[in-house]
Amino acid sequence: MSERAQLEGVSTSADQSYRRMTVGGTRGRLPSRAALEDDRMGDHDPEIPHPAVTVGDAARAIDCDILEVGAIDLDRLAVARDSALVLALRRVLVAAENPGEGVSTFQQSI
Amino acid sequence: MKGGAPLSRAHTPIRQFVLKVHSRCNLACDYCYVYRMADQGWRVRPLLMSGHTVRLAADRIREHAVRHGLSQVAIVLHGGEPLLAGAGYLDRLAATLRQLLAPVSVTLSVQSNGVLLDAALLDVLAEHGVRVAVSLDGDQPAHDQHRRHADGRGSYAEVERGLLLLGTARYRHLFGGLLATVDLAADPVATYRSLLRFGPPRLDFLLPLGNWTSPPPGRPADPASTPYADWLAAIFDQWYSAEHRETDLRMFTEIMHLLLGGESQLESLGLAPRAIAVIETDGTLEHLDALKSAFPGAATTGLRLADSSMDDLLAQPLSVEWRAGLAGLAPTCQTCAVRNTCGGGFYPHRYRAGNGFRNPSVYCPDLFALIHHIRARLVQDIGRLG
Repeated sequence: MSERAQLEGVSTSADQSYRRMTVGGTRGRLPSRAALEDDRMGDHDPEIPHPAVTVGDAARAIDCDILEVGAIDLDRLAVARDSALVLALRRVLVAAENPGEGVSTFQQSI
Repeated sequence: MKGGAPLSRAHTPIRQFVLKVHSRCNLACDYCYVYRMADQGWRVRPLLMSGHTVRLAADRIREHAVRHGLSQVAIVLHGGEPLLAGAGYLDRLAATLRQLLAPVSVTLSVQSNGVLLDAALLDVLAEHGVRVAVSLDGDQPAHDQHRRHADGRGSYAEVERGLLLLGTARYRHLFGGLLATVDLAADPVATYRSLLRFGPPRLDFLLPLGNWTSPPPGRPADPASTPYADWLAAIFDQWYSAEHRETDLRMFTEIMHLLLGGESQLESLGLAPRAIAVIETDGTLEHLDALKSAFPGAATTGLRLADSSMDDLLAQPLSVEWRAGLAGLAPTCQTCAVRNTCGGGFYPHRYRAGNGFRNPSVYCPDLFALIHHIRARLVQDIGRLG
């Protein structure tokens, strides 16, 4: 895997199946968890604990149709659909469908 | 922001332009990087960006957008205090920028201290769709501790008046959010609640400027001590646990997004390429202006709008380093467990006299602790979905 792919995450990985995902409620095909985790973790030192939360985790959540109003089992998640967690999960999927969003902005303004 | 060809890290075009429309301020905040730190370049700059310089800036931005196929750019009006330019100036400025940049679409915003916000100014900003963000550090005692007039008077009462006006139905759609600088002496949750009082759609807490040579207030040398992480984690727990989201807290949403595998849109986190240019009142092009906190001239490029393009800025060694991603980090950061999330932290925080910026952030222990705190909460909650 290229260094760029390691750095830029799913949108530059060899597995481009995320492009077939549908944002807006319908379940789509998701990249495999293994492919996603491999993509994110790259060549990390196995002795160093690394984040267990990856796009793959988000994909699992999205497999519950998180983007379809009312479809996600909010009781099981125990948070509202406009909670910080749900909005974060939604954003990561939208970002995966819109590669090119990853440029940084000025911190001294909001 | 959308538009243009797919990203190549080394050739990422500039999409956000910071226009220093006024080089002076009506406040004398004790932590200001423009006036109170190493670089005093403001002393020799014109007060106001001239019409000629505004037109040059618009031409250069348009040239860059067209060359790189960008359909949209963002322009932040900054200072000093940009509202010192006055309603008439801002009216002409916004109209000129939109006219000269067409067909490139422009998102305009202003970052203000809020003291001068009144109906006349807000009407002009509304007419041009200029989003308004305000710097506010918390409740009155916390805010007035640092954000004072030159004669020592606190500014909270004036900012409060402006924010209450901005929050009315007529102007609410312009409200971009609040920026607060962390003060360890203030209660974190009380600070967060006092900011929520104004209903900001977005909020962020900035770590005070400092570096290894001039450490930030309250940041001890002992890496086991994490006072800033502790302060921010208290707010994260409140914010994250709210039944419904109270506001978008930028630092936390960016960290969560990075932990979930996304790319940050904030220069102080993650490894996404920086895509920002700063244009001073005299038409000089600069790097990130907070670099001025490190040493005099740290943000200087030697480039001027009159004879340099935005691509010339991208070719500067510092710009290249900012686009290098992992390779641009200090060696210890490159093997760190949280490297993709932290991204080495805010660039000015990495400085040490003698070896420059190739260091971890002076806030390294705090960033590490805060990221792990947020990650633990995410793992716990997402685990319940399994």
